[in-house]
Amino acid sequence: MKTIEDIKAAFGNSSDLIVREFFINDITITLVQSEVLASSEFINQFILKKLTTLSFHQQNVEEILFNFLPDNTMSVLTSISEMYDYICKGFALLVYEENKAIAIEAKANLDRGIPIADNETSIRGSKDGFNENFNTNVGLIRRRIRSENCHLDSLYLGKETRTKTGIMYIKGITEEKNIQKVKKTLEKINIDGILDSGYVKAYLEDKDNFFFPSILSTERPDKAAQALLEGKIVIVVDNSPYVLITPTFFIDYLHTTDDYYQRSFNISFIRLIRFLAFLTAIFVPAIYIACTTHNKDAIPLNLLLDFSAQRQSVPFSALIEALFMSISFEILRESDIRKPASMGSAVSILGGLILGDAAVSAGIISPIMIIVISISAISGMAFSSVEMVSTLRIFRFMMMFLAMFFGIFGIYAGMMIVLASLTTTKTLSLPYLAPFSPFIKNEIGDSIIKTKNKKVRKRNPLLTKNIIRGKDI
Amino acid sequence: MKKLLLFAILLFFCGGCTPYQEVNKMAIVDMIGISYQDNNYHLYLSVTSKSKADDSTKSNHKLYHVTGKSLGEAFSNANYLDQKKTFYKQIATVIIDEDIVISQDKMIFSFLKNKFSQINYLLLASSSVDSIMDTFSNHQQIEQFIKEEQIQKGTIAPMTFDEVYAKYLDKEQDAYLFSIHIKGKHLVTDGICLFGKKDKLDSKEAMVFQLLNHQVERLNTSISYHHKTYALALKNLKVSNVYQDNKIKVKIIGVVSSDDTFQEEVIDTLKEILKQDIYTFITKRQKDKQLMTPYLNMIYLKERNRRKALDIFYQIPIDIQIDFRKESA
Repeated sequence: MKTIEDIKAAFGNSSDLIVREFFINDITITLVQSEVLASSEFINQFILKKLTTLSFHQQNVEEILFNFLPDNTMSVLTSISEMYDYICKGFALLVYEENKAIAIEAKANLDRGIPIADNETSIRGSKDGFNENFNTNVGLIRRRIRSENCHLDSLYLGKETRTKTGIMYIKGITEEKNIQKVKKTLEKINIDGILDSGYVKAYLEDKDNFFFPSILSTERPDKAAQALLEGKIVIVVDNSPYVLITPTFFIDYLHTTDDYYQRSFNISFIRLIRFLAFLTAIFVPAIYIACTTHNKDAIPLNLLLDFSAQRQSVPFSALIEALFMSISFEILRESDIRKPASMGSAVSILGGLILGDAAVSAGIISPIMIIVISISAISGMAFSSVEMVSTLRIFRFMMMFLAMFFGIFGIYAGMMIVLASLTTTKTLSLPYLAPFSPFIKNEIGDSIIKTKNKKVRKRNPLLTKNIIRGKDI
Repeated sequence: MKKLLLFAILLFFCGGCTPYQEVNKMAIVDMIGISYQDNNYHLYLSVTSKSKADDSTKSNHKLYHVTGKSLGEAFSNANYLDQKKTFYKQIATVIIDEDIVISQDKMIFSFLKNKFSQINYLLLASSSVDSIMDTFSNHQQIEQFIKEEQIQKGTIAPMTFDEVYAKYLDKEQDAYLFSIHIKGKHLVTDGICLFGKKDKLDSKEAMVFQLLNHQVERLNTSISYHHKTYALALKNLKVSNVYQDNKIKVKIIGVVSSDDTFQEEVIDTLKEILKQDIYTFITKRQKDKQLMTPYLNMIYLKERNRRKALDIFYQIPIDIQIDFRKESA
């Protein structure tokens, strides 16, 4: 059959492409499946077994196959390109005549189950996290929003990968223009492959944004569900355990989903700490450098003398010392992430304790610099978003250079750059610094200081016209 | 990206324009002494540092002496000490020879204002500055002395350079500085120097001056009564100066305590002595037409402006009321 020959040729006679011919009542039916993407057990159990019990002839083959084989997603394919597509999706194809086949879903289970969200640890909330399966991820969100208004629009991205990508939103809450904007942006993507949601993110960010991330990634379904309820759009990409949330504001990076599960008073304190951590991560090394090189009159005499005593044997300038420590920390962090788990804490012990202690003993760096860089680095870890941590890192280095060259004035200038960057960043053309600029009174109660959950009854008017979330009891 | 690159390059070019100096490459001066002898200005610089020894840090002080034909030259000669750049911005105390300030107050104040951004205490020395600097190279010892003297005798008070300079610039006020000298191995207060008027108050007058100027909250004194000496502590001192019925009414209240047992008569004696000291001080100042205290002067100025009479300044009578009570057990 020419169709079968074409399929074989298209797949380059791949060894994982299974083609098996059956002769039933003088009719030739050819099973075509991918050995790895389709489940052989399912095919044997539920398709082939059933097939052998059927009786049909040339005139009613399509009708019999369509009605008597057990599959709710069965499709009749009439073009060769559709057949390629369905084979790649893990369907079993029963080709019964030229350019005609029945596709039966027989996807092999390649998932790793529903994992615990590793990078966004939950204290009080649900523990489940997204995995690489599109349907599972959508299901985890739908389990939380059991409403017909929660819509999913799907499209396939990537010429070669044909990655299934879903745009989720709640009709009646999410602004239509935002949905259209996201759809148009995704439809314009013209690339050979989308391997992760990170690929899509690059297209969704406004081109003028430079420093701050404006698309939030999350591996927690409750966070995605909450974003939908706020009027945001969630983008699910097949093969990625991270879903994307857009638009996101700066303040969203200071929030966690757990914030809504605990007492507001405690959360306000924690959010203040996070904000302090944001400032500390950026400014502490720079302030230390400025105070020990330019603005020595800005710190008490005793502290200045302590700094001086600690730096007596250090041959490098404060900036070189800070860069040495910061880069060492970044290398350690990177190796800690990449190293196999079996190596345990060897790298941490070697890098953190032995090298740190040895560097101080050798007089390469001063103990105070270890404290300064550690405080800054630990503060940076208060954020679960990798993008925000990277942004903080860039600003930290920039501030260190500015402090070295211009002291406190340099830090002021840097602060202006941070502020300018925050105010000019856009997320789906919305101001990133909302609810502070523009000032949105309703949202202030859920910015840094958090009012009680039952008092937060309105949505951000920038995100939706449907701002009423609920009514007083 | 191009803009950022340009910014980074500019940053590197601008790097040399700023006064960059590592903290460990600096000689941090915490106290200086200035005197004038043999047509030369003598500059004494106390350089402070800390050194690490095992698990503890130890404070070190080293005294440097430089001279110059002018104050500027002396400071210029002290630009580097032991190959370290001299750093003056943490200066806590400046001790200046009393005679220089009396004779060249304008030059001294403009120099200090331009040269230093921060001075906590400015003091005058009526004895040789070098012996004070030799004995007390640590500014903390001087500060400790000031605090103790303030509590014990009320003859001195911590006064920052900015406060003195503000008074110096104010034409309606007379600027003054506290004076100290060294006696053996100990510092002693020497009264108040009204350098603008080339006038000086002795220690007793200084105490009254400070008391009337609301600067004394407690002081220790001793009085003799019936051949017995009582060490008394005056606490919670409060002074009010009010112009009323064509008089300035000064009211002083406080609590008297002592480790010795004493009678009410002792308090009466103390009140009389203090009242006498105050009257003596005021009469002398009125007679010489000199500054009394900034608080009293404010009342005088107000009344002078109201009456539009210049000569009223030192003619308003002063009524003093002292109300001390014994501290309850």
